[in-house]
Amino acid sequence: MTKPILKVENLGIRFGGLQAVDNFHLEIGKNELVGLIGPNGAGKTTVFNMLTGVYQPTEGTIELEGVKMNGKKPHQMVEAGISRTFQNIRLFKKMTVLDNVKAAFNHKMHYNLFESMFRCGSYWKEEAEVTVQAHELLQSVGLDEYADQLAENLPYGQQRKLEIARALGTGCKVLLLDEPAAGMNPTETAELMNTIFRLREEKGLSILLIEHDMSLVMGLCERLVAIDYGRIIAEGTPYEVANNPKVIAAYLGAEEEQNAESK
Amino acid sequence: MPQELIVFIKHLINGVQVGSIYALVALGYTMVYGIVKLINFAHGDFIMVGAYAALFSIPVLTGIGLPAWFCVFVAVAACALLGVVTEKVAYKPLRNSPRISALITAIAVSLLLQNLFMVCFTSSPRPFPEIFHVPDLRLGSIQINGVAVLTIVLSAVLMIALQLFVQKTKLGRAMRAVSEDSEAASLMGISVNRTISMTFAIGSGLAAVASVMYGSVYPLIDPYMGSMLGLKAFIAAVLGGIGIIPGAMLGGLVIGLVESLTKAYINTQLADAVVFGILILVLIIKPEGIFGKNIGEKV
Amino acid sequence: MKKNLRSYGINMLGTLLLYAAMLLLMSSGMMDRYYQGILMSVFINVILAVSLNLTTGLLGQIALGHAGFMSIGAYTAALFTKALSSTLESASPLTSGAIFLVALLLGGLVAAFFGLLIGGPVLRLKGDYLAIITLGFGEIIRVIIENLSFTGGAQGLRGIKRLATLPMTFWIMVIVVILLFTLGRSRQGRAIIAISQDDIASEAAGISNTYYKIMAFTIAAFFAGIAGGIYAHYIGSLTAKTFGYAKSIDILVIVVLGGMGSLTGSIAAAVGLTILPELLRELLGDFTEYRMLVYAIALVLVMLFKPSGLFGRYEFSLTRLIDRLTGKYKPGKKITGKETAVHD
Repeated sequence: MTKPILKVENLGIRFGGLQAVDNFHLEIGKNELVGLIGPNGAGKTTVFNMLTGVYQPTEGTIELEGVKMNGKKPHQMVEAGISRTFQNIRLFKKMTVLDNVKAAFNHKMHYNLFESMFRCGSYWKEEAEVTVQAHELLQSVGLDEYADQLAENLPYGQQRKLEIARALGTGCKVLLLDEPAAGMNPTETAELMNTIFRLREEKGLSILLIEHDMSLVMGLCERLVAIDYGRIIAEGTPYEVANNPKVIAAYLGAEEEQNAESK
Repeated sequence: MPQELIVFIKHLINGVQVGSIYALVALGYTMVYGIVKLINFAHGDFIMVGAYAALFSIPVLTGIGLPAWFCVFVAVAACALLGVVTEKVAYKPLRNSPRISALITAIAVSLLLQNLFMVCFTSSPRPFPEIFHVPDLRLGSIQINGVAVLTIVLSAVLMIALQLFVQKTKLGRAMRAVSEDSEAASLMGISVNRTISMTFAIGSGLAAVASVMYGSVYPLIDPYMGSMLGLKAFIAAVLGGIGIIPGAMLGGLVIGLVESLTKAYINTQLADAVVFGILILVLIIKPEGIFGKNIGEKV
Repeated sequence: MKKNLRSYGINMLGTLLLYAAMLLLMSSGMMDRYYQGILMSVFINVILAVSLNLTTGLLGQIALGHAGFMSIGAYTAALFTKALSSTLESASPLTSGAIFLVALLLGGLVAAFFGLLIGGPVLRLKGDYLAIITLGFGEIIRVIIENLSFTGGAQGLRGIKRLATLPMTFWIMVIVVILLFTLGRSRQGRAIIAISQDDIASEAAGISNTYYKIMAFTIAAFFAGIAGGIYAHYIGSLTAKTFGYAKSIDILVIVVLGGMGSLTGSIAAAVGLTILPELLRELLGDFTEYRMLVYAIALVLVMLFKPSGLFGRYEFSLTRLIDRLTGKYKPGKKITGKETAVHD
């Protein structure tokens, strides 16, 4: 692998007495698609929250292109080039589809308060540029025809795509997707995965994808990292990970627990 | 004993007295916030309603030969009813709306009560008669006002009773359960609506007791008396940690003392500003309040 | 751009017509001092409402200390013109107008400075707590003004030159409305609205919540300060009591009834709620006692039946109205037949 874009070493976080994530490490190269898997409650989203600055890790380092990112706030992570989507969709519901994407361009825009209040030339110029770019992004996820609709009026599957378009609007290098297919039917899922794959090629993105359904990531990712109880239990090619006895045990254990609960 | 010390102790007792009234009111805020996560802006005005109810019932009570202090019961009944009705009519329909709507409604109910009473009974203050005839207490050279002792003792008894109620009774357990997770509570067979009504009734009833005690200290009542009193009690609740019963008591005492001492030794007009200053400091430094970490006591 | 120019033209024309109508009514004597006073209150309330609409409507936070900022602006501007009173005695109308404008600007800036100062700690909170802490700051400002000597203490400030004229205030109001409208439709406005929609997602979209929240709060304070300055130079005297909690609530009622987030809603509500009591006074006799009662009932009813306010987020547009009347209006594409979606 060439020099990694995102490099995470010995990452850990403690909530009170609970070590939620411990000694997590990860390297993602340019244009690589890595899956982060594990049963429910394994700590996948906690890892995401640390990578995006929502939680501050209590130990370890996060490096983006060799620059240490610890202590950065979420919006600073975005400025540096890490962007994300959410497991439970978080859109700006009462804003239009187009404005949802344009909001993500904000940190790259320059016209100041005075220029927007008095509608100076820089306002018109930059707004026009960003509008074109936002439309292009919407086109690439197939939402451009809904540009003027309110985000809340989109069907569920389209809302997920809008979230991805918004994340891309930030101009990120690393995209973190938190269960992007949750709540979708198989057809929608397949279509979404195709879109993700295509966008990665087009934009040269590095993607880290959370999924608890293993079958979904098997065909898509080059590499998988499996965690359980906040620790890495296996990593490697999808085939290796899927056949790792610890991973099988973790998933079986989770299933057994679920079965026991349902009884 | 030097004169200054006697004066100081008098101010302390005065602070504790007013503080216990704040604590009673703060309990209402805390219980309601704990259970519906809403600052009931109208709670202060419930006090005002209680005071008027007590005032108007006194001639009737004495007319049928009952002692005047029975007006406490009338006030409690009136406020409990008002609390339950307000919740049912104004807050319940908005339980699933954005928080901002519920908050505005609470402000609106407060405005409604104030102005309704203003229109009905004019804004001129009415004297509140002396209804408790308690002999003063003498401790050496210090003379303590009997009503002050009564207020402090009564508040303490009510607070302990409330704490026992919440901890030991079935209804109290239901209240704690609903405040933790109302959905889970309803799945366990607890009637959420009834529990919320009960909480409003108890909180408002305590406000009614506070109103009568307040009337005994500051014997003038007017339609706006509740707003500042309510705000200070709310600050007490935040100071102690909102949702926490012992926190409300401690917060009430602290606010009462600070206010009394500021009035005595700094400047009467600055007392309100100092109390608001405390609020701002608490919210900035430790928004969860003094007892904030103590989640187990949440109601 | 072309469409925008046309729209600007139409609105400019509409504003000029309003202005002309006002001048005509004033010069023909159909509008006496009493009505002029009402109109002045309307203008001031519009400025207050559209500025609070930035915090409450766009940012989505209830602020109960707006009158505090208004009072800072009022006192600053009044003290400034009082300091220059000897110059003003002999000044030409043009010079005194300029001094008045500088006073307003100064009042706005000082109010904004306090907004910035208070905004940092205040905006770490949200919802109920933010409401209460702004109320607290508003009251503290009032108490401090009451206890300072250079503000005239509890007696207040008297003998402020009445520099605020109707035509001038009209144009100031128009400019404030325009500036807040353009702000709402810019990257800054988008960021502020995004924060109100979902403050976790806004950070994840690269928006610095703290920065834009403080920006909104400070700008709102600035314009409230300007409104205060106008008020001071219209009434001619100031007492801190005027700017208490009740005044803040008054402004909030206007914004909420008009529709949080709708600038035209705020304007309509400001006009309506200022004129209505006066109208009712003519019809029903003295109405002042019932005014707040009616407000309160209206507020409860609106919250119960149309929580988004009368206008919601809808903006009235003169251009669209004209297009509708001339049959040129084409509604945008709507999503039809919402797909059923699986939620977990």
